[in-house]
Amino acid sequence: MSSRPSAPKSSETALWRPSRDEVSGLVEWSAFFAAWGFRGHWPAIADDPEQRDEALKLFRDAQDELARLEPDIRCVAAVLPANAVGEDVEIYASEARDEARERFCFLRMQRVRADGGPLYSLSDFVAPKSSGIPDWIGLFEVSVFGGTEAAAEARSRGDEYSALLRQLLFDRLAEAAAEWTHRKTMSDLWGIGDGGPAVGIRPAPGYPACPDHTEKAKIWSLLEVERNVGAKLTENYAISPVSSVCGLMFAHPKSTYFGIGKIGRDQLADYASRKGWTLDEARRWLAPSLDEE
Amino acid sequence: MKKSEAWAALEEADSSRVLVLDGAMGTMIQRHGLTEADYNDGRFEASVPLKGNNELLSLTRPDVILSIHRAYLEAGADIVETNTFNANRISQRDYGQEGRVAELNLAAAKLARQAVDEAMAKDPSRRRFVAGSMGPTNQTASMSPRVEDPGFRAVDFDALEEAFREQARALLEGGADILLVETAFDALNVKAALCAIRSVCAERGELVPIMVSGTISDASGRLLTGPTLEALYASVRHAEIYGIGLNCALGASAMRPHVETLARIAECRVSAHPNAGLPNQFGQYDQDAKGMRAELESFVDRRLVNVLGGCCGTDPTFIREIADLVRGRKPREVPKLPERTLLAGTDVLEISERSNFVNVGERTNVSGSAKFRKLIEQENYAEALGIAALQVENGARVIDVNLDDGLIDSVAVMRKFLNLLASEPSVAAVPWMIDSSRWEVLEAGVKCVQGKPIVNSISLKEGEEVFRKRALRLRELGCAMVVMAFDEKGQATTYDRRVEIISRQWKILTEELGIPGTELFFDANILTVATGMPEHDRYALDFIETARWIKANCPGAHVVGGVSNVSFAFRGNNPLREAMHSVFLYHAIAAGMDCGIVNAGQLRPYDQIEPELRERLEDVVLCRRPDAAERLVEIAESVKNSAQAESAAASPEWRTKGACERLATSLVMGVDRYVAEDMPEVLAELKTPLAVIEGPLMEGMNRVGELFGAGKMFLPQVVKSARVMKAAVEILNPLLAESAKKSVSAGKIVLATVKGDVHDIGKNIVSVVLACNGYEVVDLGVMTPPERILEAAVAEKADAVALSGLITPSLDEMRVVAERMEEAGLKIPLLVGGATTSKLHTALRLAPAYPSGVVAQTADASRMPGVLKSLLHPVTGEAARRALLEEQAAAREKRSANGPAAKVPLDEARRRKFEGEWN
Repeated sequence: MSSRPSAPKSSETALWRPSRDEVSGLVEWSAFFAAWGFRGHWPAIADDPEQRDEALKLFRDAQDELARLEPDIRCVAAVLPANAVGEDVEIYASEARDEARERFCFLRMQRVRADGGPLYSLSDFVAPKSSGIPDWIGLFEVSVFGGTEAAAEARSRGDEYSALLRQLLFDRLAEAAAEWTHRKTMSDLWGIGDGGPAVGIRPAPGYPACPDHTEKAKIWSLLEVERNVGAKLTENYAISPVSSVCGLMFAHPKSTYFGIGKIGRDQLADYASRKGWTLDEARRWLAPSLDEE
Repeated sequence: MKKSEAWAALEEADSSRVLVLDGAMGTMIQRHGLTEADYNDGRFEASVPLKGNNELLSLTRPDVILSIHRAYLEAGADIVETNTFNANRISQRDYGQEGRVAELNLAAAKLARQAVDEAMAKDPSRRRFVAGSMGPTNQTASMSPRVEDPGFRAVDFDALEEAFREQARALLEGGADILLVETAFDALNVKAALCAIRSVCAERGELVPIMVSGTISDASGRLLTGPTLEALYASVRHAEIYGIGLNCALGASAMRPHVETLARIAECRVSAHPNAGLPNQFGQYDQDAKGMRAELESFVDRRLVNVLGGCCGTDPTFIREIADLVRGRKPREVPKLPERTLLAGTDVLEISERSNFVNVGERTNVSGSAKFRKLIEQENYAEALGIAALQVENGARVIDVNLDDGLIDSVAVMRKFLNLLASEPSVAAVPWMIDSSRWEVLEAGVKCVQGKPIVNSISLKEGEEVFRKRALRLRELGCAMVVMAFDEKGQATTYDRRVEIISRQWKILTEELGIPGTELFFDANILTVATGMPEHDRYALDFIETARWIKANCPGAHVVGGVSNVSFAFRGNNPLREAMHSVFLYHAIAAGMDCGIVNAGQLRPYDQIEPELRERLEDVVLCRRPDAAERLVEIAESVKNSAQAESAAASPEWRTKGACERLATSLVMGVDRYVAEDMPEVLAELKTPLAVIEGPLMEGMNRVGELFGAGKMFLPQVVKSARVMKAAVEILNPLLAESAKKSVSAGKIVLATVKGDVHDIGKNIVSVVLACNGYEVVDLGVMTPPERILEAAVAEKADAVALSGLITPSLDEMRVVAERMEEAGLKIPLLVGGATTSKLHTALRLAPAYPSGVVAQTADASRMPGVLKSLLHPVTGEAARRALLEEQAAAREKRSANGPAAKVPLDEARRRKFEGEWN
């Protein structure tokens, strides 16, 4: 089987403000219950005699609370021309592809795989520049505003339970909005699929497939996140407001989530030179991917 | 054993006055400003500094120790304590001086002896005594220092007994009159000490007076490892102790209610040697001698004590005041209490004439419960513990534990299971019945139990000699015992044989061996009826008649039996069996049976059994007609079919209870709507807002903490409980003095999400969980720079700092905070948590950055209070911190030994990239 990247319908930056009810159907409840210390998946939790009673009570409270929340959901996304150069992915200013306006840097797995499977890098899911085949990459950022204030309001009344409930619901809404945005981007911008579950993956910088949090800054500049959404990055690249998600979208039909794991010193040096970092800077930002000597 | 001469002299002295015990040794030594050279004049080989190992001074600076004894005698002490608190091989191991233990104790006892003899020569009018001080060691046999591994023990009974034996022997040889087992935080450590002391006394042919003095660790009035004072007393009562008391941890006024408890229950002398108030922030004691005297006045006025002295922070000026205070005053009168049986887990269970039938949970028995056996075989201890807990929930007042199975290493599994049971608060609370047909399992089992257990069982099966030996050993170990009606010829099946065997056993145990009847539980063999064999027809009736005989002829003794045997013929028909058990018990209890091994969840009230069934059951049990069994079999099937599943409807009944209980229950259930309604009544009952917090609120929160810690409560419930707590405290706050607010705090924790990170859900959950456990939380919010954390830790005099962070760069921020804490000279624990934190990272990166303190990582919020409690504990905190450091050192070593995981070189990895198959 072979794949031919498909051209997007639009490479404009899109802004969306979905309502609470548009995204709440996409809330992944298992994570919500895990945060409260329940074991297993929702709705299987509701069949577990040990957990059922408390889980159902919590679910009811969560539904009631959700119905009262007034989240301000803001999403930004774009599908941009891109090609891979080694583990980097260049983003081009136009379809002429003669000027790279940005360059995402990814890592590659270096673990010994007994199954002989591939040693992935996210760049593998984008057609290499050398192939001459045009490809694209999607970017998005979503933030749900109002959560911090809603939690603080409950907390000021001494109601820690509602405060935590609200915080967790806002987090879940942000994840649901990310799913919503992924689907919307694929169908409305990229023209792949019908708005149902999206083809491909949407990994986030700072997480296993691309552990370097600093790559988020590139999303910020390409999507003008601060202007379009109002979300900011802290000095350590956490997003404020806290109920936010950003990521990259890859449409390759065989793209898959994976974890980089630990990398060798050779790749540390290689990555540092690609990022223009000293080795010490690279060590700091990639610490979790390094063997702790 | 005959009592020593000192015992008689002590009794004579204490009959008319309160004896004065001396004050602190450590406080006095500190004032001499000694240096390493004073501690080690070159005679000790040591890899660590010995300064602070006060016991060595008995050899290197005997002049200092002697002068301290003299000063206390001069001040009016009747009893001086030897300088041997830590002179045992377990504590001395920290200094590498475990080989010197005998020498240290001998020298110390001789010094105290010399001082006492001099004082007596000067003034022979009044006898003075030497008490050999025996501290608890720095290890506990009832708790794990590792939060993650509750079944682990750093020390066991045998090691403790050996260490105490060595110490006791040398103390007595050096001239100690009394042995004082003090600052006890674990009843099992105490039992090991008592066993050791009594065996040394047996060697010497005379029993010396033994005093036991416990230390209460918090407002709940319990020792660190859980026992109440009543439970502690139950656990040591067997050892013919001279006195029981309290010392350390509390000042006099805080100690008084607990001394009152002891004064009420102890059938021996009561002692108290409190600290000079509570320590200030620098660990020093501000109370002066007059202040302490004022607080002690009520001890004497109310005749609560026989022996009174001082602990940390007291010196001869205090002892002079105490001697003056008690002069001419009457001591406590040792009460004569009615004969009763005391059993204990961490709570006491008293069985007397007036008490109800005691049901013993039978489901933690591998031969009785297939489910339990399977769990044990699969080493699924968590669920096996759940079975034990369920029985307690269902009303079992004692838990029977039997692990006899050919395929199980019963000794090892018994130890393991009991150690784990000890970590389950609801089950640890009740007494345990250690059940095995193998002696070595019984002995290993009781050595893991800090309360007072029952052993099941001994009999005459292997003859009188073995019987005597075992009974005596169980008595030494402080156990009540089940005595089975079994002799050399076999099991008693008739009334006559039962009476024959039991009278013989009774005679040996009580008349010959001197064991009180209250310690004995006769198992007169409940055997199966309605088997179709006419010779079995009288089995139940004969048991009932035997019970009547035992009650009439063996005063104090109990009648026990395994109830489910009686209905064994109806296996598979549980409704009928349950009804039969009820009928059998109804008649057996009336005849005197007061203890039964039953399935506590499955007893039906006698009067709810349908009349026809009840009549036919009674015909069988009481052997009223020859065709009784047939007539029961006739209706057996229909009983089974008509049995309805019982629904356990939740009862709103708690609203009818007392106001305090209602408030505590509101808390546990997380219901806030009744708090305002109940509070005025609670306040009227308890008088002060502080009493409300320390009483029902604290109790409710403790229950919540325990349930959550045991995985029986979910986080939403805990958070709701916290909400109720907050609502209650808000009502009380305006009425509460500042000082009172402080006194109910378990410690102050500075909590923050680190710089550059905004994630605070985990932090907020920790904050709630800590508040539930009595900690005061100073929450600095998110994106907190290290300077602010340090500032707050110092300004708030925090007991610990806890950091949260979700993103990976936060790990680095945590390291920065650890480094800053080191630079600032802090020593308080640092706790970290959050999705990216790990035990390994903590060991490799964080702990080495803060060598003066300790850094602990917890996987989830529910573990935080346990970790904090163990790290901050005044007595065992040091051991817990050390255990953590060792664990982390081991992790680092293992890491460096294993080296990094193998990796593919980058160019090779590139060749093995995923092929996109573009075209």
